[in-house]
Amino acid sequence: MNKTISTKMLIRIWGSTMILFVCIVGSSLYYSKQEVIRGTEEHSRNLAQYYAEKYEGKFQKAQTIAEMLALYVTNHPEEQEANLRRILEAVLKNHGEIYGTCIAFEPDAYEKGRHYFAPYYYNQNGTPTFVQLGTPEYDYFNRDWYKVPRSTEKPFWTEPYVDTGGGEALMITYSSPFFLDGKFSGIATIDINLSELTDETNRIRVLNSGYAFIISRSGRLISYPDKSKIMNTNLTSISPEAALKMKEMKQGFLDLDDPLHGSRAWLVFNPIPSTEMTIAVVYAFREVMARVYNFEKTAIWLGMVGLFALLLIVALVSRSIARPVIDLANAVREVSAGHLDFELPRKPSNDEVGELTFAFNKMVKDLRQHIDELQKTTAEKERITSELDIAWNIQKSILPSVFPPFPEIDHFDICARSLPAKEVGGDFYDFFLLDNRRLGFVIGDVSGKGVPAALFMAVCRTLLKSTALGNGSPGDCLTRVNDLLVPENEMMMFVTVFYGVLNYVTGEIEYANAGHNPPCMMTKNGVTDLKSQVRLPLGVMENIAYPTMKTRLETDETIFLYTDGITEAMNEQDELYDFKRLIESLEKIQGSTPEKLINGVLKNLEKFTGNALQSDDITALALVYHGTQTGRAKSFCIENRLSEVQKIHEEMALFCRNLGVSKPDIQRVNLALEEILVNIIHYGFDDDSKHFIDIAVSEIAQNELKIVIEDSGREFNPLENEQPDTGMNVESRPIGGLGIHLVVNLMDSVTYDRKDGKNLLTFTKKYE
Amino acid sequence: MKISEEVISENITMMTVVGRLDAATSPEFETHLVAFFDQAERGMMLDFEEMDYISSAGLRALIVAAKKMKTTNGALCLFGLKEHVMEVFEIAGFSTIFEIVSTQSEARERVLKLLGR
Repeated sequence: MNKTISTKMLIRIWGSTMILFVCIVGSSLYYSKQEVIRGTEEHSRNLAQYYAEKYEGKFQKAQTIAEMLALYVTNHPEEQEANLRRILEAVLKNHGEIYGTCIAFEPDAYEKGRHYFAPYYYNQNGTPTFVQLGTPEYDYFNRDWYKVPRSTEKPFWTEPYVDTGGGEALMITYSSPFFLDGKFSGIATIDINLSELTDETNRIRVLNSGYAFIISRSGRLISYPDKSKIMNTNLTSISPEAALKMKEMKQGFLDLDDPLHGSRAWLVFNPIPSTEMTIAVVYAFREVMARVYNFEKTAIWLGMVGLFALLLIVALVSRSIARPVIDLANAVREVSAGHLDFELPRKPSNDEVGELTFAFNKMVKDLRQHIDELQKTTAEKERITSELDIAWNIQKSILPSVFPPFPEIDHFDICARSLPAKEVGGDFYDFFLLDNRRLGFVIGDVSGKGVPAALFMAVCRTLLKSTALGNGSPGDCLTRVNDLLVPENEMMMFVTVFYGVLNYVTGEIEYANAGHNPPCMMTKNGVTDLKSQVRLPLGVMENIAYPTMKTRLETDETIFLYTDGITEAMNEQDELYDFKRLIESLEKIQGSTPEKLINGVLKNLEKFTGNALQSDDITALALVYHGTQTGRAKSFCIENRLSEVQKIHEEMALFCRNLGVSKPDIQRVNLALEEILVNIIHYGFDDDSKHFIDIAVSEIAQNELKIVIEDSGREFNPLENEQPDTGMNVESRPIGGLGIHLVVNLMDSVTYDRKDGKNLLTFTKKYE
Repeated sequence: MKISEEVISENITMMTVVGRLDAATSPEFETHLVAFFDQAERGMMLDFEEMDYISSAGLRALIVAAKKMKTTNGALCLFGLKEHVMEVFEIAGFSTIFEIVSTQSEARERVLKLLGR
């Protein structure tokens, strides 16, 4: 309980928060990373652009000055040498960024006879210094800054170079040609010392190891952290890819291996258009990432601390929420263990748990009271129940409960069951033999249930049985019982009764019905209800004549008696079981023993009612008639001794009684049997040894017996003997010869036959 | 079968037979009866009120006894025969050759009358 609730809260709240947190941190890290990368790149671009523009300005200024000098010379071709020098010196002085300036003439262009004329001022340690260029050692006509514009007749920026014999510095020169009389006559130049530019460029720093460098139009390194490479190395040789891109004179970005450090780096570059140089800013990928990682590390740390704090908070909160619920659960366990005096401390909180606590305490209090009451009523109920148990036992002992009740009679099978709704019921059944061929059977239902009904039932049953055992038809019997019941019936109870008498020899049933459900007749044609003239139940009114009706059971037909507890049983949907369902149920199990029949119906009923409470007593009685079947037979075997005769008499008497043969007829049959047997025993066998005689008796038709006596003695037909003269007096009368005479006269037919070495004597007798 | 004898007067005896007179029991009955008629002029009242069953063996014993009686001038009267026993007597033609009455007193009168003849 404890673990479940708080852990669940913890897992769900904290888990979902964590996922959210991770998402937010993750995405913010992603965007920050992009931002850092982009920022660094932007910064680098700005740097590159800034310096490119700055240098471009310088170069353009140099260009302007050079062109102005060229224009001046064009306009003043006769200018004196001193003036020219003054102008040059002034230019140098006024523009600190200019390293040197020169006006170089073609041979003989300034003055006939002067091969070289090139006044040149340059800045030597802050002092303008004049040099007249042009010596055989320094033949400026072959220098690029002169040679190229002379041939193209166009202004020209040289490649950076170290001017040996001139400025003695790394510089770049702008040459602007001038024309006198339409003829190329010389060049005005401005030198820019690149060392300043190089230093400045070298000072550029991006992150820790980022730097800037400049390449010339041809790709030569002009500014580079590794000074040894300056002017000596072409970028193409150390990073061909960068060289190729940078020479395009466009702004650009490259992701490549740093030419200086060799590791992965990013490079942004910007062209300086006038001199066709390109400045590049390089910064290490690793350092950008390091910044990003730094940032990430911080964010993750903060996130983890936050999550842990959240975990603590959620744990505390969930525990504080779960605590009262756990208390409540413990309390429920206590109460369910029987500690009803348990009470939860009343929480001051007004939330649901507070309400629950209050409700729980109230429930325990109510439960305590309820259990007290229950204990009292239970004790009371137990007392009544035990008394009802006794009553039920008494009632059960009243109703016949041993089945089969008449095992010696096989003309019919009977079975009955009664299930009281309350502990004792008002239903009853009964059956009894009225004489050697009639069976009385009763089913009844007393109004009401419980003890009064059971008592009334006991009275009814006793009265009915005692009345029935006297002679009289079922109708008379009910009439009489009714007249006996009414005057004594102060409780105004009544009882419905069906009373039938089965002649089990003939199958005939006489019956009378006092307000009871008509029984079901299960014949070969199906199941129907037995039509009867129903009169008022017993105990209602005196002087009612109950008519006796008759029906007949054929062999293997059944009469099924029941009380309305079956047909009026209800299921959980309040539907009645009703007569139709009973008929269907009976039809399904037709042809079985009465016990199976009753169990089948009760099982079907149980299935129908399901869990619905049994509201009325349920009683059923089934009587299956086997009939006096044609061909029913028995055979006996005796020895050839006289003492055997009495034994066979007894057996035969029992067999005949079961068939319903009257006592005089049994005597007649036995007499005939004896006469034949004695004859055989006395005269049939020539020796004194043991022999057997077979006797077979069978019912060959309704109320007709056939007896066959078979012996293996010598051939003898007793019927051939002379019949005695019964009219003779004592003196003349022979002593023997009477036996066969008696047989012939007592039996309906007597025949003799000799077959397979045996005497067969057969006689038949119709009986009542 | 059970046989009991009761002396009614000097020469008259009543014999009561209870049970069956069949092939197995009749010889005893015959012996008793024949022995009784050994002496001359004796009267016998045969009580068959509790005699349930008689077969030809029983009838034979009666005939034997009756023949003996004729030689010694005795008298024999049967009484209390049951319906089905009577039926057997009639079929055998014994109802005409034996004295048969319904009660003991009638039997006694009949025996006295027969002896007095």
